[in-house]
Amino acid sequence: MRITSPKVWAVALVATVLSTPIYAADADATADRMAQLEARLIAMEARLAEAEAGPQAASNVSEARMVELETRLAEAEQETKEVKALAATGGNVSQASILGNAATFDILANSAWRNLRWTQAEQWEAVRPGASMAVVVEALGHPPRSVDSLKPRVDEVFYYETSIRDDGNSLRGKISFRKGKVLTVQKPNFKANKAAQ
Amino acid sequence: MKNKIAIASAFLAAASFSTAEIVVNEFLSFEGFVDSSYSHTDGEVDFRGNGNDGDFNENSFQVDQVEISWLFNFDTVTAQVDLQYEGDSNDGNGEDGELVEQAFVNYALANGGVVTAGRYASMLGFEAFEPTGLYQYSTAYAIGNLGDASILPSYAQGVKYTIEGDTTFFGISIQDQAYDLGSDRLGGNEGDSSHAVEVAGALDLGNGVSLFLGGVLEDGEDDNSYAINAYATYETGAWLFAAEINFGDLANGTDISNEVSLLVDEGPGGADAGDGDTFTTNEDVLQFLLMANYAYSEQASVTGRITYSEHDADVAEEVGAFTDTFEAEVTKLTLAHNYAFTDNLLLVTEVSYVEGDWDLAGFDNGDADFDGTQLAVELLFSF
Repeated sequence: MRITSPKVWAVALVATVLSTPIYAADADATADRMAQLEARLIAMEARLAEAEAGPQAASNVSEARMVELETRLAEAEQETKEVKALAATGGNVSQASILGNAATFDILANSAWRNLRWTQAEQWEAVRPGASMAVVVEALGHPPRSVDSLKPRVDEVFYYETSIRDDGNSLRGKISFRKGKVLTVQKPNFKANKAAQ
Repeated sequence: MKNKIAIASAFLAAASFSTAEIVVNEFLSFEGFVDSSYSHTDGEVDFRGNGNDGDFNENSFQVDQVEISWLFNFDTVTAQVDLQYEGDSNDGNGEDGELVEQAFVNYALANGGVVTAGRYASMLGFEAFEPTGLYQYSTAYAIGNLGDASILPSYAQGVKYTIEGDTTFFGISIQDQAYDLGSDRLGGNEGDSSHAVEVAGALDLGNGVSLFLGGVLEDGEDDNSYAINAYATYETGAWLFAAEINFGDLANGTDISNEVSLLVDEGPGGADAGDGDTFTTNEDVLQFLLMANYAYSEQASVTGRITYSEHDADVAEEVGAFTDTFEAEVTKLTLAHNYAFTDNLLLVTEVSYVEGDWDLAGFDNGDADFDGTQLAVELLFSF
């Protein structure tokens, strides 16, 4: 579904009236879920460490099992990051103006499948000129939009943005690549976004 | 622009699944472009031996092509459908401006290979099929009003297997046709039928040097056609150099030989040799291009290109027993400038000069020299 300003306003209005307790409940549920996930993650890390450390375990645990554990661990880590992002956003919603948070609200309302890591400022720390495309995707997730650049010295551009339109409340980041390496990085203005909230 | 060069072009053609896209949801994305241009062409044909020379000049101002690609992603299965408007897509018969340019599905194998089935672009050729991948407005072997001298195939329907490593690429395609000797059948015994095999390989030698070699053979019911394509690219700093050579034998002849034989047959010299239209067969072609591109700023580049094409064909007539031979040489010089306003809006300006001659010895006054100049301005928006 295409997100338009009227829709966001309408959703925001309804959400303002109705959802404060719901968000509070959501925030509690999210916190519980995060705690559960972190507990699972710790347990999984411990099991993995055991499997890797013990010589007897090495003989009993197959390579496939190790791979499976590592995959599950990676998934759990990613899920935890995203739940943290959701939790952080949920906490802000009840305290701040809905309009100030409209950009993130867009994602939560209609694009929950999207990877949200890029909405966290710390996730951008690994994205520097010279970093590989794989590092960028690992840190920020796949971009919601990308284009084969028509500029002669740029191959591809990743856009991380909550809205294509520049409505002042959106988070907008942009990374250009040349031969698979980061050329330039334009980070989202997290400070301005927080100030707007 | 650097969109389709050397090994990268082979890989893109192989995978045929771009990463540039507007993501709609987990499994559907879109990408595409709008290409519009203004061009002015001046030309002259000088028939040797009579005074029936012809001058022509014409303008063109139109949306040349609009394309939207639907990209589907279901983990190991991906698919792409390219819908396009290309000048005469709405001509009613769909022969010259197909609405569905490509439609194929990819299945990724565990060994890293990809099996593709459907309608897809040929792996051969240095130059891209779409304007978003070109360094100029015109393609290398397009000779204005006289048609296209290229012997490289375009789109076909079939199944192909491709595999690529960090520095290598290999692909093989079994398809219904390459030169339309009997398309849409892939063998069988109903009427004209054919099948074609296309093979391609590329190697990145490092230090900006890459090589590509490929070939295609179409086995028709009565005739065969084949073409070999090889190119090398060298990229250093802001410079890109490319060299390509093609040679082949086309049972149906190229666009340019058929256009010229018709032009002479029905031309102002009254050279009509018989009752029917002429056409060319068994055309041997040798052609090459040399290109240099220099990106002199973050947003702009200039490109120079030299194209040469040599043709030798038999000429026949639909009605009657008239036969002739066709020989032609064409040289094209192109200078283009690209300026990118943004990552997805590009202005291309080009001037190209074409000169050559043809010999149709069987016609009265069938030999001629020709030359022409084309100026073009193109605006390209991609998303």
